[in-house]
Amino acid sequence: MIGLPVSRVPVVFGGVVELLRPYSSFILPAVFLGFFVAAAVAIGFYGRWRVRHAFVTCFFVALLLFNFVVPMAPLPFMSWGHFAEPTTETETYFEFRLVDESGREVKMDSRLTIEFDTISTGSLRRSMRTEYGDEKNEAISRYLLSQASVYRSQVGEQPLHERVRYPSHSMTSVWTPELLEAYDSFIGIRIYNMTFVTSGDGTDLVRYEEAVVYEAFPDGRQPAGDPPSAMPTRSMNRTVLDASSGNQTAGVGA
Amino acid sequence: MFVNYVDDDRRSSPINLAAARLVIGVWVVWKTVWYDWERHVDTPYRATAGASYEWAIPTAAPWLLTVETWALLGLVALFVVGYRLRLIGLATAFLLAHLGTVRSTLVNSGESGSLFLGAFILLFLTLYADYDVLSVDGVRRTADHSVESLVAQLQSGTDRHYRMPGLKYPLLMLAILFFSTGASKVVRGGGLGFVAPDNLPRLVFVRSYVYPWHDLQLLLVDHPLIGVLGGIGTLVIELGFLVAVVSGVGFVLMLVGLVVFTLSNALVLGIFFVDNLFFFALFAAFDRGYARLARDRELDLVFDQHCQFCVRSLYPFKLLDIAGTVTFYPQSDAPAAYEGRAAVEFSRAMYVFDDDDAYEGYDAFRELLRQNRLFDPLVWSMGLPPVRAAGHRLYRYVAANRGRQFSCGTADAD
Repeated sequence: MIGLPVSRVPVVFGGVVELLRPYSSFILPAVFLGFFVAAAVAIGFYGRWRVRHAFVTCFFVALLLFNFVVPMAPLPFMSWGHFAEPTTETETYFEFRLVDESGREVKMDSRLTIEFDTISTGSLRRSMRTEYGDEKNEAISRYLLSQASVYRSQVGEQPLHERVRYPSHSMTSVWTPELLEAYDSFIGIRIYNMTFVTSGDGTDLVRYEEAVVYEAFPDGRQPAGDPPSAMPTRSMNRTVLDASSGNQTAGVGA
Repeated sequence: MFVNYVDDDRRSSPINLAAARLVIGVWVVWKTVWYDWERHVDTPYRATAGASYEWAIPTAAPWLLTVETWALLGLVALFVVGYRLRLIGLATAFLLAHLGTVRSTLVNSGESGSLFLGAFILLFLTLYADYDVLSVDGVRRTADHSVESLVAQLQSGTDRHYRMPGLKYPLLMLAILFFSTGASKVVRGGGLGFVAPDNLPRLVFVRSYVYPWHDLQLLLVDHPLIGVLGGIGTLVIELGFLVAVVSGVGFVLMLVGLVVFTLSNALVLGIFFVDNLFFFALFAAFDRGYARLARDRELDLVFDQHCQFCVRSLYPFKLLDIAGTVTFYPQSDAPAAYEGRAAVEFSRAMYVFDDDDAYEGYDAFRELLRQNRLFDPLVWSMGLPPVRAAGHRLYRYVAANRGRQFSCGTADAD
């Protein structure tokens, strides 16, 4: 490492990580268990200050390495980097939507994924698009529809155990009984790719595009209409009725 | 308001360590009791967020995770009271980290990351458990002391110091993590990209479409200056916290800033790092709050200095008496005026004297607790007739049998 420019260090470690990746099924459990074995030794020999001191020193060296140098952190270590990338004029997001019999769409409340609990839907969406095959994707779609049905029946009910539940990490994109009143039974799932092109100061929408990148109607029933035209909305209801024509389009603005 | 243990890990009272055990215990229970682990396993999208850690999931027996959770909750209860901290703390941290690993196979946000932070905090508190005296272990350790040394401790002044490295290292860990997230904003943002006038307003603007919530966040879009100031404030706080922790300058200001930052994140982005509030609470100056709740009445306590069990029982009360309002008298040194009082019989029980009032046995313990308003609910419940009756009977039984069943050296001393 001596003489290596600092800027090259993460690259070098990145290369090492790639080299070790094929052995991750051995390395990751070993790191996890090794950490706790080391902790047990330090705790067991607490009377010898050098042992305790060595554990603390190694812990902080590892913490620094995994947060400043190595581009990944094996559990139980973790790295923080919230919203580190600055935004650009073109921003792309993906989202799950549920489709009812009439073709109306609602953004999926991710709390339905494990009944009032959530998963990282970004990872699920990536896996469905790039990793899983048709059969698995259809099984997942069927499962999400089933979960949505159960979750929908409980939305708005606030039993005591839900009121004292640990606060959710994400407070947005929540279904309400009023929102769901407008929907028939959900029969399909769609994943959308949404592209926002914003003005230079980031406060105006210059262009918006959305495209269906995946859809599934596992029971074979198709919605009455085509996917709505692409317009952005700040409502969970991604489809509102166009009052002038009676046709369904997306909502406009807020 | 908050204590910078990196700057100085000594306090005049051991209360903060006990409070930290309670805070982390409440957090672990509240956070983990809701997880439906079997559903984590029984989904077609198992391990989508962390396939590399699928080895941590007991797929053949998913119910093991539920058992693990209940075992964790039981261990946490023991950890909070400080019972066999080394064994219990290590086991608790391991179980929490394992459940965190399983959780991270489906959730890769700070929501699962915080479980590992919690495990580290548990480990540091465990690693330095020998400094944790206001605990069951602390009382158990007094068994190794002679009666004479324990009596001397009861009669000592309040100018003591208690080191708390178990809180020092978690604070340093958090400061490093916040510094890393601030540094990543600078490095990946190509300098000051994060605080550029368009960055935060655009982030909020686009998220307002993607993650529908409320319109209050659009204030940041209408007034981009707020976004710039918010960005600068974020960097100053995230980077400055470590500097404040290490230098000891501006620590409270930075920690209050982090609390505000956490709450504003919830308001503006809808992302609530509620775990951080618990972690910050670990460094609150509980001892100062406890001192403010203390009553200033002076009590005299007369105890049997030959009975190790009796002396050990009083040890936690000595630790809780941070204002030094209780004077501990061995029977042999008790003021003569007390012994001559009607119905006072030192050989029968411990006594607490508050001017003209004398309290015996169970009531004496109740008066000791009354010294601090924090214990008022407990004092009130101890005064309920059935509880009081049971308390008196229990005290009389223990006092009568302390020589045979409670490791008391009274007979030998006599």
